Amino acid sequence: MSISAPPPPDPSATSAAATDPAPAAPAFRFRAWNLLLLVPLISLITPLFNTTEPRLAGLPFFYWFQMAVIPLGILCTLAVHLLTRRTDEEGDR
Amino acid sequence: MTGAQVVQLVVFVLLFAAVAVMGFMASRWRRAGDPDHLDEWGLGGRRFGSWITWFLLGGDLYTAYTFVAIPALLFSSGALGFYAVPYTIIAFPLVLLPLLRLWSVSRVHGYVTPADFVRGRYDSPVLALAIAITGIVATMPYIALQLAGLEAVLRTIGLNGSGFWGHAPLFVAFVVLAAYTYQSGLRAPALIAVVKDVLIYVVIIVAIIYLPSKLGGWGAIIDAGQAKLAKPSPTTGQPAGSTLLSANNQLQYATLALGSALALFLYPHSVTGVLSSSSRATIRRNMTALPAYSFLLALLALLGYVAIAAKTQPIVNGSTGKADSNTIVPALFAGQFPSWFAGVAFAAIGIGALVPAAIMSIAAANLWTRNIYKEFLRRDATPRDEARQAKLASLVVKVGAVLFIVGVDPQFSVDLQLIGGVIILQTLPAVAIALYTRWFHRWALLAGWAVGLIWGMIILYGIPNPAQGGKQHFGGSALALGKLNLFGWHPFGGSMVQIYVGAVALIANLVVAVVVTLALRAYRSPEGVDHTRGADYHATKVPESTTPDVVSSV
Repeated sequence: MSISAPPPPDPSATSAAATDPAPAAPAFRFRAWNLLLLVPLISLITPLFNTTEPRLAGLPFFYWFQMAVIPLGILCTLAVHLLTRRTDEEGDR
Repeated sequence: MTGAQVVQLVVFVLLFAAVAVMGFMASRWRRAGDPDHLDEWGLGGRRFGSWITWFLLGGDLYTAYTFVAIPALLFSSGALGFYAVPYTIIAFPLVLLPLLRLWSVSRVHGYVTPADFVRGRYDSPVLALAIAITGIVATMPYIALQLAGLEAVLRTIGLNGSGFWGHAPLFVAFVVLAAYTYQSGLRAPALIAVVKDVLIYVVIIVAIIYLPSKLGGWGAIIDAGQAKLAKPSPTTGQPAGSTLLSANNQLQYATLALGSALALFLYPHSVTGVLSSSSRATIRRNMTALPAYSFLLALLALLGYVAIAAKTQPIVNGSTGKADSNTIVPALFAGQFPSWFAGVAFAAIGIGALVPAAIMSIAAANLWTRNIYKEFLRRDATPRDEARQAKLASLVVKVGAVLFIVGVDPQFSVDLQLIGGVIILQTLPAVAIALYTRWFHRWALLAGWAVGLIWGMIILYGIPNPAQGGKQHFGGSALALGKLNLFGWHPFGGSMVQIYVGAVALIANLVVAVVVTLALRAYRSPEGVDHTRGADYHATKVPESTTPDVVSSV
């Protein structure tokens, strides 16, 4: 089990790491950046986009808005992945 | 059969045969460990890198059924069918962090199934058994649905025989699938998934560029959809739907998308895909990249409206004698594309059925072997026994799924899939929440699971669907809040606002789990030993003693 020791703390993530008491084996690690993962939930708030106008290339707003949230969701997940990678990472690349 | 159908059939058979050959050869691909070990057969040696995992999970989650059923849903009821898009947008960000924890703890302790984890966390074979059985029961109709998707294609090509032998082409396809899954395990679908994705992408991109230009653009297509959906149905007198949501189905749309997203990675086959990946980095990269499929899915969903604009009619199923709305996309392709390209499209859908069917049968077999066979029937089973048992179980599962399609109306398998989604969601507290906290008592989780399951089933049983020929039971997953009945009390009066049944059942599940936990704790009921430790959930590498060199080899 010696290999499963926690990775060294990331000095660049101080704001998030400050809230972390960082014991030897933390059961739960909170990082503020992770909240970005909740942004795509905007696609559940139907009153925001349940309209026909404005259309894009003939598609009602309802359809193209939700399709536009796809790249937004990818960007948020990518940001979390890149910002928390060093504290989490296994050094395989 | 027409001349065009002969061309379609030849292209379909050629591509299908090529894929079958790949499936058999996959057993030699990247093999390192003992081929008779369950980790090798059932998880591909736990060494799939980012690309293979992407294709594997993509093949797992975006299935033939998705390709035929989601457009069919827009075709028949409009905007509500588009729920699949927010569902796949939110699913991956939401599950990223829990899945990392599950991967790490499974790696440290050698868990193969979600039920293995529950067993270790709560020290309770009975709770693990409940989770395993839920997983198997929820997966079986899912496999059957893949067959329904495959059969929709075969019937469009013209292999639309009647009676029992009308299913013969399906038997042939499934014998081939069963043989190479038995031989190659998870490696077969992983390799085939690459081919499937390339084909699907080509077909969808061509369809999305070519068809709208042929039919007057998206504006005209959506207007045609709205015009048809707004017409009152002859059976109910109500419009079939609309290209926008109504005041009553917005909550249903959001809760269905959220519930489906939460259920996605509770399905054993998704967990199999995740656990077969080689590192936490693989999972992180995949959860970032997988929503790229959502774009594909959105475009594909809109083909439902394209089919309306092209005046496509669903094909009448030769075995049941009823029009099968699942044939709407194949029929659209057959009507609009040159026959050779329609053949390619059909092969894409057909192969899209084989990939998830193989992974699902492997996942169900893993559950049977680890949590029922080894736990209750043969405690001293060696890894070799486990692998043999799992291979046999995967055959049994597939035969069961074929019998299912032959024995019951395809519509009934759709109902069971609906039930499957609601019941798999009831494992959320014991599997997903348990990744973060052990606050719940193990018997309270069992009680919540039972209440959620039973109540969910009762509600589903009571939902009629007048649009489908006066169907009395299992008519859908939308519950009008006014019908919600708590021992005779109607908390929402006569409200017509609809909500997803799975969400209601999950809330009941959680409430019961909390109350029973508090009660059991007051009585100091024994809580068992937690075999996992805090650090296990962040582990990046495997203990040397179990599997050396797994991380470094990729």
